[in-house]
Amino acid sequence: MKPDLQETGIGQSPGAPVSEQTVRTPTQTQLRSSEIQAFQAGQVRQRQTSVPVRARPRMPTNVNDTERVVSAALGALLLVTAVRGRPLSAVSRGLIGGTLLYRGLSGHCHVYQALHLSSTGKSAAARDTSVARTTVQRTVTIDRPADELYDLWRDPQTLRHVMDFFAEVEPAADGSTHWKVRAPLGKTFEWDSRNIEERRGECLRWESTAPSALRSIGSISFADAPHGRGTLVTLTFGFDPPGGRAGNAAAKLLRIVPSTLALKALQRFKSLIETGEIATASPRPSPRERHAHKDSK
Amino acid sequence: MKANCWYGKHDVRVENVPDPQIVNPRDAIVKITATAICGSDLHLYDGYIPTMERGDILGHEFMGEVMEVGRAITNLKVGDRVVVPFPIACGNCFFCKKELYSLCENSNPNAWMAEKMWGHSPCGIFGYSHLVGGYAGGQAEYVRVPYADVGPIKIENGLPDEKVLFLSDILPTGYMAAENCDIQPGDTVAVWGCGPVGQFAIASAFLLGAERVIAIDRFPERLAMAAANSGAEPLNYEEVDLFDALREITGGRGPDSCIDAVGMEAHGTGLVAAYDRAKQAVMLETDRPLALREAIMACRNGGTVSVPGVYGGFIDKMPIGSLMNRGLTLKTGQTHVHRYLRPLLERIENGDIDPSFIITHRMRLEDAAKGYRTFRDKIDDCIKVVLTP
Repeated sequence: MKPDLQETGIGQSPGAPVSEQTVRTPTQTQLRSSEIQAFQAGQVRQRQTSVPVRARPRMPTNVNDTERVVSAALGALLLVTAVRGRPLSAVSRGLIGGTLLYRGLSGHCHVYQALHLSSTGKSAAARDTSVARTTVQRTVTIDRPADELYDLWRDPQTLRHVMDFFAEVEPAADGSTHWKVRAPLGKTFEWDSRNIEERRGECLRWESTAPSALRSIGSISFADAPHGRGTLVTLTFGFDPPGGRAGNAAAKLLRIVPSTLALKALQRFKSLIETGEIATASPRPSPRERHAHKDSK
Repeated sequence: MKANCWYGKHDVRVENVPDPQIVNPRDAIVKITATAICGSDLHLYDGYIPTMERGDILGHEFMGEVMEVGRAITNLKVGDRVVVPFPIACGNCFFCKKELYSLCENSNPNAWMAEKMWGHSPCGIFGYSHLVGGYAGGQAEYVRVPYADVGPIKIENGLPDEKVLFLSDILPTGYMAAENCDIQPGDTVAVWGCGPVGQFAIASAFLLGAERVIAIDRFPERLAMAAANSGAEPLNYEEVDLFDALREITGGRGPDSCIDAVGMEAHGTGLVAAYDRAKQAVMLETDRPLALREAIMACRNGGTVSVPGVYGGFIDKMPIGSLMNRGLTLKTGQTHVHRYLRPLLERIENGDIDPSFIITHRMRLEDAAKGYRTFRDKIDDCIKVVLTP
């Protein structure tokens, strides 16, 4: 069903029972490094992809039953009358009739697809919550040596400050970090993350400590920019839920993962390191802010 | 505090809003003593700049008195008089170190938004839409100034506000436009648009050694100002065939450099102007580039077209063939105000230029809405409105 995920072994875990309120990953399973490499390889293919990659049938049904019957009947009628009409009118009737007949019999409408419409009651995107991998990756240049940047990223205070537009990140005693993301309607998603590869000045990789509900994986790597122009810093986040109920819960999180997550996080990191603070326009003293502070940090 | 807020097309209102506060260590809070309405504010007023939100505080030309500083600020103290540049620049990044302050990599927290529109992001700008950070502007009683150790210039010589206020934007903008022309002795410079930036571009072109400056507009009072204050030769494009006139004035070659100080809402005559108006109205192009097209076509072979006029998105019928085949240089950009503050303040102190000549209207901040209308419709020959809280 999802060949790219099956290859990596991701998405096959049955998963622990989870509530939709809080998805918390138990700390038990450890992923094999081959899985991570495969995941990383997948990320390379989807470099800078922010749109979730979904396994989806080629011709999904997007026309409801009533419309299908009407389409097929009208199509058939046009085809029959086409035989008796004038040549020009016969061709157009034939084309329209054929299209309608196809639409009725297959339940798939290319026009709807092109317009992202569906008359089946569920939008294509809403039906397709089964599994979605979201990977975001960006690179920026920061005017500091790689070793220094590596140390700063590892500092839990830095990470907490850099990520607080997206998640609350708290360090734990065992060196892991606890991530908590607030979703709409008061829901939260939480997981623990630990470093699985640490090479000072080169790269740092981390992953959530169990893949039951939501697999979160990430890396930051450093390379010298040419001619003393600082360091190229590449940040990657991947979120990958399994199927089933747990997957549906986790997929909700994916919808709040900003497509610009890696860019924003890197830009905040860069701003903090280069200028000593993170540039922000909030809180903005505009009239509506008396009621709610819009976060544009 | 009172602040002039944007509520939609042709709808600005002075409202009571919370006072700004220090957020970051390098911030300062400035109490505004004078602020101005910029021609580019009219692009917001006319609804041509996307990502404005109801309630956004406008204004990027302002000066005032330091009220409070963040803990990392050592160059300013409470009570200092300062003029604040409209681009927000960190002073630390790759671009700031090259003095390309308006391209600061760190000051626009909404860089992701600007990337979608423009490919890459410029700096953050006060009061100029969320594409460039969503910062509250200075048409208010107070403003928060980020990176206050880099931007504001202290005014310590007792010069009145009206002489130094325009260091915040339009004087450096006109100056950079002229500087981009790389003016050589004997050069003729043509300037499209005799609004405030055009007036300063004309004055700056003379300061930088231009032999002749041709001022192009359709409003007699603006042409008269350019002639009277700077000695430019006025050319009303509604009365002549502009291209022919420029060619004949310049001995058949065209002006050595052309400055487009008009930007995205150009007016014009005839079919082409109607064409652009129609396309802009139905969103098929975002900007009306009449002045830019004319500047390119008129410029002499190998000359420079300098564009201080603001553009927001996409244009149509760009005469790229003329630009390419005749080896023109196109120079543009939001102004790197920071690098012009000191030298231009010195020119004001020396009496080389008195920027206050462009001011035609003085109003209270409370009357901002009237100020926008007056400026936009050029009521009462309006060229520049200064507001005081």
